[in-house]
Amino acid sequence: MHLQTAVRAFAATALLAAAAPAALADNTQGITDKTIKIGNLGPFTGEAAVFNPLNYGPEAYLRYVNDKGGVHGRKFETVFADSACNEAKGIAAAKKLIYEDKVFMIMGNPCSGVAMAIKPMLEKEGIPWMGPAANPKLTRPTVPAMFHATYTGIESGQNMAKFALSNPAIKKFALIAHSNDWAKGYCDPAEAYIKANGGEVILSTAMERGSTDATAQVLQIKQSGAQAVMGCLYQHELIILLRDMQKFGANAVVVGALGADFDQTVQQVGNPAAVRERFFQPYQFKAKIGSKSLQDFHDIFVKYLKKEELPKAGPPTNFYYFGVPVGIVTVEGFRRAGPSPTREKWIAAIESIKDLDTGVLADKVSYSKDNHVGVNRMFAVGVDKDGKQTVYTQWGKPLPE
Amino acid sequence: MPRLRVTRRLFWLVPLALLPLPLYLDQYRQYVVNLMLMYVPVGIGFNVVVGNLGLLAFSNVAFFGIGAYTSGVLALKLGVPWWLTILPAGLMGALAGCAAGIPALRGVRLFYLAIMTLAFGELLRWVYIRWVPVTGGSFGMSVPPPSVFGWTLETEGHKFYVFLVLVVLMVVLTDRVLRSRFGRAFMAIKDNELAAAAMGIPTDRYILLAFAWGGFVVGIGGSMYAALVGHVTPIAFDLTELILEFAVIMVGGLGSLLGSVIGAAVITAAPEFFREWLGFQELLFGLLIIAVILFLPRGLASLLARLHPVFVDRYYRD
Repeated sequence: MHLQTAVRAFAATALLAAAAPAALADNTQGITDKTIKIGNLGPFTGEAAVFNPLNYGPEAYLRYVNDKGGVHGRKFETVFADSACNEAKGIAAAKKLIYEDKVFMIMGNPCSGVAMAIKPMLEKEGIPWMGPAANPKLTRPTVPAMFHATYTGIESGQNMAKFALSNPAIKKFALIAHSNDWAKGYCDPAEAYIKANGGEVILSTAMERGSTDATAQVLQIKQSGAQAVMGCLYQHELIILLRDMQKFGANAVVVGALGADFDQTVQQVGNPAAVRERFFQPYQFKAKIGSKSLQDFHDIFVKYLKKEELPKAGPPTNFYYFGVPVGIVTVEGFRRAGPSPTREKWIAAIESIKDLDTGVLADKVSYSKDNHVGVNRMFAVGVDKDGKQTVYTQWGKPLPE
Repeated sequence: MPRLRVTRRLFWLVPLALLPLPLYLDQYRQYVVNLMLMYVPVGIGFNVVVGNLGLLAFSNVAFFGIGAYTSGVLALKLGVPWWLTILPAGLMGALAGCAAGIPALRGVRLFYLAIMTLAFGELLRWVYIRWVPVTGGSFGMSVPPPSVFGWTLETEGHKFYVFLVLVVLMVVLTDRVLRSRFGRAFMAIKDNELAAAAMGIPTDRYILLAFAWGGFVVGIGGSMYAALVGHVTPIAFDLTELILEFAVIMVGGLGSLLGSVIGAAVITAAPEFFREWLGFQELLFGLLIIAVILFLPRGLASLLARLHPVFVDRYYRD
């Protein structure tokens, strides 16, 4: 064959290929008589792998449900896919789940960047997504197939302010935040809530990531007379702020965002006086981790997760519990969708959920056509005057054990 | 016509042979192929500065980010169709290349240059995060679906054809540059900068030119990233990304145009092959890179060069 002929043949094929429309996933993809195939997308490699307990939490619950016989005679079959919290890799992982593994839906996905990157594809294909990623833009405005099973930055920020305002003596607030959107995601809703509920923001200041000193900010806070500080900071900087507030005798209460682990923060501040009745954080769960109320979930994690899926040392941590509602709500959707589930039926089933008690979250889960964020209410966690970690329903009111 | 020249013409069959790919690949595999194509200009640009010019400059990820943000901002904020943002993305990359090349003109070399150019990339990341009204800050920006002459590239297959054209263009143009007196000047500077200057080669001009060309080509790659991923965030242009891009040229072959192409393909495809071994991907990927560098220090391209002279990089015109 002459080169020119070959070129023409290839060009014709290319035109054909370009004109061919992409096949859309059908609405029962991933469902067989015996199984429901679910894609579990998350960071299993790279720095962000610390977040993968948010994937193993729901996975443990699916295995538990399988052990109990599944839903309408079908058992869940999970396909894990690594996003490494990187958009380009995350898209590849999601495409593999959708077009090769042919899953019914995607769950997990704690990384907001990846979730935002795959959002257009999910919308186009109508693939359901149930996840814990904090970016509120994922489900606001509402996207038909995307649901938050846990709190976004908006709920967390509002609950930070709400807890402080539940102390009638607190009216004057200071906001201290990193100059990034993550911090804005917490502090902006907190500020709006304060203003809407009779509080006053008298200081708004920045503390950059990597700061090793908060003297200037603490002196500003002290001078302003703020009674409460909304600390939209990551753990390292939050610790420095708490230490310096103690050092300079600034008495304002600090309510931190969820970018810090409460236990580690208290431990690393290294001074009980700096945190006792002074430092609080929004709390996602209905009881203290390790308490009787959450024992069932602890047992599920330990029984159904493999050794390499559990922490290397110690019991399952916060993120396992925070991930599990994703699995619970997903399964509830299948229960309600009936014996012949389709994507439309599953979505309608999720939207029909009202006041579902997950047994783990502080709030009951409710959805509607216009609201795809299931939960709102949070508690707060702090250290009481006896130095004991305590969960509060509001200021001064510990949650009954 | 010399025989080798005729054989080289067969290279044109490679993109032609790729044309029917979208007929056989699903959206996932096609996306991975597109990802490979996207990394070709990224590797080529990096290789021009590090491999051909021989300067240890790590600003590649900065050019990549600039390209992606230029396309993203123009498409999202000004409504410019994606295809019209490709050239501006390249030009912005070239401009950034000139800026990153300034320390080299001041005689900064080796690790000092490496650190300065790394800092340049981090500085740009700072800009992406802080210049919220334009860049969308830490959450980044969602780029509208790419379009060419009013035709929206809806599927990965559609994007593939446009990417293929861009990649062929970048390969051919860079080949021309490297085979011209510019390429030979880069090589002279790499071998012995002092001797090159003594021979009358205006080294400063050529160093700046290499940075600018590298920046331009990588900027085009950035524009492809914006079209392919559709979401541009600062975290995509961090140190991890730089290491990946460095792996592209190390595995492919330092200073080899063909190596950039092979490196892009291998480094992009390998993690997808290892995807099934969850938890071992990094280990396998790392072992692959170590093995290549250990046994093929001049990269995979050198393996092909051993097979046939047609794969040997040339720095002269036929």
